[in-house]
Formats: sequence, structure tokens, C-alpha cells
Amino acid sequence: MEYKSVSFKRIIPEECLVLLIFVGLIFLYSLIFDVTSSIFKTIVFITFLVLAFIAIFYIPALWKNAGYALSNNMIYIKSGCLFYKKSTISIDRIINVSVNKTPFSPILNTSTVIIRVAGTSFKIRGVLSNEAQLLMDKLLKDKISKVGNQDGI
Amino acid sequence: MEFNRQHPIKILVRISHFAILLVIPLLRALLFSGGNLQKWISGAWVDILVFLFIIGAGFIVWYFDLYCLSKEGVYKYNGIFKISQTFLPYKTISQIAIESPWYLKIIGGVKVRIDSPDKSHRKSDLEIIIGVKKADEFFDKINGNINVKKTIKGGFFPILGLILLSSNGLTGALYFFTFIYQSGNILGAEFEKKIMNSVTSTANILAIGLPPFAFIISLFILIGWLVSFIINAIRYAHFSVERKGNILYINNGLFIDRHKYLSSFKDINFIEIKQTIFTKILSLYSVFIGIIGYGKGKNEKNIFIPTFKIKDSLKYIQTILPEFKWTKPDMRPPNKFFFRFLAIPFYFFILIIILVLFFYIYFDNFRTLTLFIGCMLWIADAFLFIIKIISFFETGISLKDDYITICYSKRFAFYKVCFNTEKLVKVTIRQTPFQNKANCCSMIFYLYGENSSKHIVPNIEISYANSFLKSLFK
Repeated sequence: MEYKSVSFKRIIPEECLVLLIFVGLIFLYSLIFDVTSSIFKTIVFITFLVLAFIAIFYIPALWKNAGYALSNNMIYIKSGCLFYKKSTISIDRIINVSVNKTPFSPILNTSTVIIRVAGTSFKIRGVLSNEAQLLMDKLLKDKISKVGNQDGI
Repeated sequence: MEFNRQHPIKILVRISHFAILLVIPLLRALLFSGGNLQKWISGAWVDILVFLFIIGAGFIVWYFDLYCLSKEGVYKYNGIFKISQTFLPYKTISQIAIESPWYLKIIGGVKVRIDSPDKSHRKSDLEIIIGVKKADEFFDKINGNINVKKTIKGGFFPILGLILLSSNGLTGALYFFTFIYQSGNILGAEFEKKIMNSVTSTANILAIGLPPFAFIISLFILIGWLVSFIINAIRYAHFSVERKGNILYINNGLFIDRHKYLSSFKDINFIEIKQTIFTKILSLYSVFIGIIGYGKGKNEKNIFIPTFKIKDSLKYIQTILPEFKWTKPDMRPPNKFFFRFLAIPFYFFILIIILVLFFYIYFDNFRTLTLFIGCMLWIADAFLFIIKIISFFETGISLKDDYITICYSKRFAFYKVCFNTEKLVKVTIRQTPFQNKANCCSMIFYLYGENSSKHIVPNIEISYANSFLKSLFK
């Protein structure tokens, strides 16, 4: 099974979020501790190490492990880094598919595809916008034609 | 199309939440006025006006709330300024539940809840209060004329077993707390104080050799369990299951709270057998059923067969639903994964030791309480150890004639679930970093339904899992 990887651009908003969290935490620490104290410096250093690890290794690894594959009647999705997940779903069971866009989408040209089945749903983040639209059409193609037949359209 | 109004009791049901807070002070004022109406009205005229306004508003909303049982489905039409019209075709209805609580029974009404695979998993798609005759007419429209029928009646002991198992101390304790809090709201803080004082004094008298705090917690859980037991006894008495053709009927409840459910066979998503360590020793099974709509009412459980001996339970499942093919798991965790099953109770054991030592050393005043809670947690952990050992021998997956049987344990219970492959919406293979090294994984099965129904089978060899997926979706 050959999985199609998602766009590398998906890591940009995540990296930005990590940077924002870092700035926010430093601000929070400065309210609690004295900025010149050694406790403040130690906590900032530990936070920096943890967030740097997340930004340099974890987020890129998440991107590398994410992907999806389509066969005639199935869709396969893999995700996760420490906790690796591989999901299989029959296209027949899909109830609806939505393509979500964020304020980052026009700049990065990426979207999130949400596939809903009765009782659960799953997301593929960082799919190129045109590919997301194609995927949506492919997944719902059969259903659209079935409705058409029933209504005699 | 002939539209009907719901039973007028609907007005009271709708306004009861707001009105109850006014009715009790009004009645109390009437009592204190010594039956003198003039005195009462002059003192409480604002409350009386507000109460009449609430009743008036309830009447108007009821007047514009209409329904119709047409040939194709159910129409509901309601609203004054914002009008909403709902149509639910009979074909899409998964389940109909008829409830007869005591307040409806005395006026000849029933509450009908209609569910389809759409909408929220907490609220029904349509809920109407109608007369008994109308409800029968509704049943007949869906039922048709089917003569072949198979019935299972829950006897005294199976029902008792079910009630004992399903009574939850914490749920009951929550009821008990709500009762005290609400009584404080309605009857005054003095009454609430009196109840709390009597509970504390009872705890002080009876707590021999135990810290009073620990005893109060135990007392609350015990009272809670008793409350929960009574509620469940009223709910599940006279439980029976009946199948006529492709329609499944489930009836339960005492005369003050009757329930009747109707579902089609095609809407059965899964059957689940649940066992605790005690029912395992006693060779008993409780069987639950997954149908959209069933088990989503307040304090309602999706029971299919009450607690019977294993042999009888399996016989009853075969009688009512012979289509379900139960098989012994052929894809089991290999022996080398035995210790993986014991990992969680082992980590808990270590964590409890650390916590107990920490509190024992640093909190001198709470040493007895720390030891008491520590012992209770160790007992629970020992149970978990036993459950996980048994679980290792039982966990597994099998597939036969499009029916999958999965066995696993979750918290303190064992589960055996059977479902048609058609009801499987998603399968996930999950690997933690430890599982990755050992080439094993957890298989998560998501089944069709309104809410997420997921079943996790742990520690299956990854190559087995992949081959199973291939055979499943070939």
C-alpha cells in the first residue's frame, strides 16, 4: 500500500503555535517569578528545551508519518508519532466529507479533510487545497450518483 | 393530512421545571395564611400572576405543537414565531420507545420517543406525549400483521441479578446529594442542615475503628447504592424481550414507570455480553444490545437479556437472534505478550506505594486515613491483576460468515461483542512506542451508531492484525 503524504506546509501553523506557546509561557512566568531570579531562568531553559524538541523532532515526525491511501472501496489513513495509528474505512460507510479551511489556508494552500461515518470521524490535516477537493469528490462520487438514480435525476 | 395536538398534560410537563419553584412557596403561603384566600392573594399576588403567565405561555406553545401520523411517516409542526416542521419517514426510524411514567398512566397518556440514525446521541429525534390509543395505532402502522413470535421473560432472579449488577453506588450517591441540595432549595436551609447533621451523627456513632471521614464516604456510597438499587428495581421489573418477524420488542418497568421499545432487526448494531469477576465466578451473563435510540434515556441501559446462567443466556440469544454467529476467538495474543496485560495493574501498584509512602511520611495527621485509602486501592488493584490475567486467556478476534466476535476486558469487566461486518465503520491499528518494539498493536473497532461505540482489543500481533484487515476488506 502506497500512502500519499500530506503537504510539508502543514507544519508551519504548528511551529508558529509552539513559538506562541513559548512566548505566552515566558510572559506567564514573568508574572509569577522574579525575572532576574535563577528559578525563572531555569524554568525558561527547561521550557525552551521541551518546546525545541517538539518543534524540531516531534512536529516534523508527525508530518512524516501522516498520509492517506485510496483504493476502489477503501480509504486508509495513518497518523501519529509516538502513538502510531493506521485506520481503515470502507467508502460505502461514509456519511459526509467536509473540507475545512483556516486563515492560514489561502497562504499555505492547505486544508483539513474531515471524513464522518456514523459514530465517529477522522481528520486528514495539511492536504493541498486542490487535492482536498479532489479527495472529497472521489469519496462522495458514488453517493451522489446513487441519490441521482433514486430521484430519477 | 390530519394534524393532532399532544395530550394536554404536555403543558404541565413543559412548565414543570419553572413552575415547581413557584408552586411550593405558593402552597406554603396558602398554608400559613390559614386558608384565608384574600390574605393569600394580597400577599402572594405577584407570584400568582407569574404562575398564571407560565401556564398561559405553556398553553400557547402546546396549542401550536402539532403532529400527524401519515402513511409515509411522522410529521411534527411546532413554533409560533419560529416555525419548525419535521418529517421522519417510517423507513428511517430505528427505534420507537413508549414510556408510561405514573403521572401519565393515571391520565391515560404515554410518552413516545422516536429515533433515527441522525441527530444527537443524548436526545431523541421526536418526542411526543399522546393517548394510549394513538400510541397503539402508531405501533400497528409499523408492525403490520406478523404472527410468528419468540419471547423471553426475565424471571425474578435474573432481574434481581441484573439490578444488583447495574446498581451504581456513585450514581445513587449523586441522586442523594441532589435530593439534599434540592430539598434545601425548596424546603429551606434548615431542612438540609438537619439531614446533614443526622448523617454526620450516624457516622460518628457507627464508625468504630474507622476514621469518621472514611466512614461518611462509605455511608454515602452505601445509601447511594440503595437508592440506585430501588430506581433500577422500578425500571427493570417485568423485563421481557419479544421478536415478531423482523421486529424486536423490549418491555420493562413496574406499573409506575412502564417502558416499551420497538426496533427493526436491521437496526441492531451489535450484541455485547458483559461479565464482572463475580458473575464470572457464578457463571452468569448479562447481555446488552446496540440499537440506535435504545439506552439513551435518563438512567437507561441497553439491556437485552438480564443476568442468566451462561447456557441459558446463549440459548436465549440463539432463540431471539439466531442470525448472530458467535465463535471462539481464533486470533489471540501470543504467550510472549502475557506480561503486557499485567503492565497497567503493575504500574498502579508502584504508584500506590509511592503515594502512600509520601502521604504517610509528610502528613502525620492523616496516617490512618492514608493507610485506609491505600488498602482500598490495593484491593482494587489486586482485582485488576486477576482480571488482566483472565483477560489474557480470553482476548481475541474471530470472523465467521460476515459476523465478527471480539473478546476483551475494559476496566473491571470482560466483554464479548458480536456484530455484522456491515456495522463496522472504521478499524484502527494503534501502536504505542512499547508495542512498536514488540511488533504488537491494539485493534480498535468502531461500530455504527449515533455515539462513538469503540471496542479495543489489545496486544494482537501486527502481522495477524494486517492479515485480518485484508480478509475483512478483501
